[in-house]
Amino acid sequence: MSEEETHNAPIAPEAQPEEINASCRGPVLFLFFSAAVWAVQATGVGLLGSLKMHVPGFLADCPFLTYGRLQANAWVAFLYGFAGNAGLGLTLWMLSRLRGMPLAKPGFVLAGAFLWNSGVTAAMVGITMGDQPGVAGYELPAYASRVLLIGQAFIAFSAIITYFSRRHQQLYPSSWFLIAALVAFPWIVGTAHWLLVETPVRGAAQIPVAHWTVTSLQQIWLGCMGLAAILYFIPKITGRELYSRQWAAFGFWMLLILGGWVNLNSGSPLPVWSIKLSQYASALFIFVLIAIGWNLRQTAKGVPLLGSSDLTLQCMGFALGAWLIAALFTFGNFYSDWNGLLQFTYAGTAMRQFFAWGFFAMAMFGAVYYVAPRLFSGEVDWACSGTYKWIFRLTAIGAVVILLAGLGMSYGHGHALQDGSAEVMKKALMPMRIAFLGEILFFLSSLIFLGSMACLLFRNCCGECSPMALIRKCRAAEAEGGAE
Amino acid sequence: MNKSPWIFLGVLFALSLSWWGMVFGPASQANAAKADLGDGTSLHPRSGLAQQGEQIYRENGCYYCHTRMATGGTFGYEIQITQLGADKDLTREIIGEEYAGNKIFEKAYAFQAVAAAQEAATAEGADVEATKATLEQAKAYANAIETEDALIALGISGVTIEGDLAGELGLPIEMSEADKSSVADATFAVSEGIEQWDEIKDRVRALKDRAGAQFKLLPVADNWPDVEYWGARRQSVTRDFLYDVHAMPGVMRVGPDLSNVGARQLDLNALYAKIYNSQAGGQSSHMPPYKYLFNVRSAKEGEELPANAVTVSTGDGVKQSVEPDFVVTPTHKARALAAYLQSLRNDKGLPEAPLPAVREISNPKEGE
Amino acid sequence: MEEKHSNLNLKEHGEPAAGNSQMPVSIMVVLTLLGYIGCYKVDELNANFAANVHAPFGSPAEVASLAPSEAELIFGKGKQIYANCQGCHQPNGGGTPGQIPPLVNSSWVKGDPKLAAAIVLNGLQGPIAVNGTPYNGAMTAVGAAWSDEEIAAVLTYIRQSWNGEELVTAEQVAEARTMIKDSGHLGTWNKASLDAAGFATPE
Repeated sequence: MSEEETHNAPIAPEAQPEEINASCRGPVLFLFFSAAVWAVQATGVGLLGSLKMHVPGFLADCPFLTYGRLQANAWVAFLYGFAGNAGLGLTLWMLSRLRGMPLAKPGFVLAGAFLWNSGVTAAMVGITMGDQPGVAGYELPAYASRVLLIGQAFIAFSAIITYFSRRHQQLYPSSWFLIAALVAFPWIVGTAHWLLVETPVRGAAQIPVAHWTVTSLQQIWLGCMGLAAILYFIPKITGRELYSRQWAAFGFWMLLILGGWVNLNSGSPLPVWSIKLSQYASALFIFVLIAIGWNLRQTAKGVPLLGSSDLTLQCMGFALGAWLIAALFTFGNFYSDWNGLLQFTYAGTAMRQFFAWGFFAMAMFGAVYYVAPRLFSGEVDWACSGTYKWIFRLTAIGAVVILLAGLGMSYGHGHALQDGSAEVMKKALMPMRIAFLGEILFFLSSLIFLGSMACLLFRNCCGECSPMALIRKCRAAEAEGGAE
Repeated sequence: MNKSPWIFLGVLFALSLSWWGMVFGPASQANAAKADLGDGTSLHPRSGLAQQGEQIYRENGCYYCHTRMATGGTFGYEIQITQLGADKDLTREIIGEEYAGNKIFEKAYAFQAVAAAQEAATAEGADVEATKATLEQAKAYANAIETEDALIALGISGVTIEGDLAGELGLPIEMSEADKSSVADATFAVSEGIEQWDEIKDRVRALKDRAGAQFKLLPVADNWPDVEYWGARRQSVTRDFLYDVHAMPGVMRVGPDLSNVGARQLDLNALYAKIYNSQAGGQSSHMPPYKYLFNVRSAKEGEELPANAVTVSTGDGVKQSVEPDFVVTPTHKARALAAYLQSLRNDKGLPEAPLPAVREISNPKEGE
Repeated sequence: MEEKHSNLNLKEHGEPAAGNSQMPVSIMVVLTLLGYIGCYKVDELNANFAANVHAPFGSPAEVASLAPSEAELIFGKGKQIYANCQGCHQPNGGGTPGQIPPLVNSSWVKGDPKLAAAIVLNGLQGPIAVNGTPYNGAMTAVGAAWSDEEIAAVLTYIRQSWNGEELVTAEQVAEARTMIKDSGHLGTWNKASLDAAGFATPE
């Protein structure tokens, strides 16, 4: 499409932010609230599972509560329940805002959100009954992934109609990331669904497919949604321009190209070439790190993100830092000795948790803090103002604890594995036991998040729609009319 | 970048790169893997029970704490010459002085010289005196080389010393059964240290093409923790997962690696006891008990344990039920899980992953 | 606290825009160089994208160098086929005294392999003497349906394991087949018919 064509095409007038907010209200709040419920579920179930690292016999007589099933459940609840709901909600809001158009087809979103949450529920029930495909990081049974894919398609439909509803001079980088996440999800889950669950390829061929799925879901799907939020809110709140579109584009394409290749363990039972290629991709990942990091550093130059008085900015600052650390870990995986030391330890899982909570959840918490009150008309604020800060604090401390436990303690486990030390089992458990503290903090912050969301909804939504409020409104209108 | 639709195409293209490289490429390559091992044997699918066990392993999420990935480490080779090349000096030059200095190398060539002299002496029209002198000289030289390693020269192709002469050289005249079966191994190691392939590949080629020697390369694991401490016998490779319905290589080693558990845990009862309660018999373990995979009923007064009861041995060698005062028997699920676990073995070499010799096992672990 | 939070309200900056700062050329050059070095390294280490090279091996040639030789493969194949023979001749080739003749140091196995091939193909019955010991049994035509290669392999195993003889080729077995065909003999051999067909039997 040439410049001329763009200019010739009629450009719809930009909608007012209030109008856009109002159009998003129902669907996005529903998604955010679901996210809060699933966050509590994910952390609660995860805690129950991790307790077995302290007390192996805990709940051992119930086949539905084995460590493996609880872990699978916790990750599904986090990834699709929390991250999916929050990420999709934010996608809709941000795309509408960036396009300057009200959300199109909100009915589709509500239907999609309903399907999506049914899919997550189905997955949780299925896993509890013992129906998981056997891939740590992709635990969806066939029926659940089908429902999730259809639900996501409904929501993506609305997002894409909104996206095309108005031609804009330039697309802000965040919208690239959001579109990429919308497109990547069906591709990734579709691949895993067909090749691992529906018509599984031969066992030997499943290992690379599973690795690509798990890595892509994390690096591309979660990564794109979280980075979109960071790239949007840091300039938005500081009132600055994003430093460079070029840097952003470079980081974006590199992330998409490399996201599925990285982090293959050097000990994977795969041919040498795929491991070497993955190490190469991990090495190149430093470019993504530099591009994103430099761009945002230049943007927020002189602004102490973490020390800011704005909670959203604090969250985004922490999330950015966490993403950079996780990217650095990915980069480190190119070095076989380092990867060889840590590959069978808790480090990989800890980095996943760190990425999930320190980066993604933190970005979502910050974004929801900013977005949710704006979805209501009038002067609305978080009900219990001080408590939301604790979400940030607890999540941040939890993420740091997990990072330290995962990297620091796993180092000892890795050495014990290589030296055949008799202490190896103890050393394997140490990092997980310490990470348990972090998980408790995540649980608490999820509880507060759910409480805050419920409070906000109850005070503003239920208050607005209750019969008493309606009568009050009518009377006010009458009074106004009378005065005239 | 105001070309909105192009974003979609660009994203699809960028994603397709890693999809092609990480999904399509390796998966179609692994899909083409054959069960045939090239030596007349082939890999087999699991038995029905073990296949059901794979499902139990999967649905309980055992793969969260156990891996099935044994890895390699530092790696080298021993060259074992099975047939001496004709040119001693060339061979010596190729394998290098530090190895050729090995007395057994010298002695093998001395035997070869004796065999040649013997042949010359028995040839028609030979100069009796001269050949006899040469033979005596060769014999004397061969006998003068003292080595600690026994060398069965008859096993080295191309060196055949017959009759009394063999006796004079300290070689068995009539080979015993043991000697005969060791004929195939009648070789001597030339390399003492560990060498990586890059260092050794030129020598290997030269030895074959220029010196005309025949040899075997024996892979030697120098520092393979998984082999030395974890009971694995070689690294895990793609084909180990050929017949898995769901491949579960695992992520973390909270528990031990299971790639060779079938070979180190042959005792079915011990395996059941481990699954039932891994702390049974005072073992240190943090694995949760999986008692729901077993039938448990209280034992009657003075009842003999049935043959399929899960037992542990107490200190004085007496077997007692894994749960005192109860009779514990495996359910079908436990039997299937155990069958699956026992099917996990990597103690048989594959063409792409032969069993390496292990230099030194400093701390062999009991089967966990 | 309250104050800060009331700041939230609906006041906000406009939608963010992206600036036009260019990526420095020097960085592009460095990145390209690093990328190129990486490609070069992958090219060196990719083991020709072979499916059968797993760490710690590094190249197809390395894996190939560990493959057993042709002779070892034939021996191994013969060992498997010998499973059909060990029921009578025993796993150690020792036979059963007085009933089944041994294959160890056997006068019938040593020497020309065509004799043994003929017996495997058609079976043998009636009185014979092995290493001077008389036997009078009956061997079925166990190898009637085997290929030349299979018979060569099992004979190689028997001869190399217990008789110190060289390997048997498929051509030698084919020759034996031709000799049988030329002799017009059908069915199980006995010592006399073997001699008549040109397979010299030991006394």
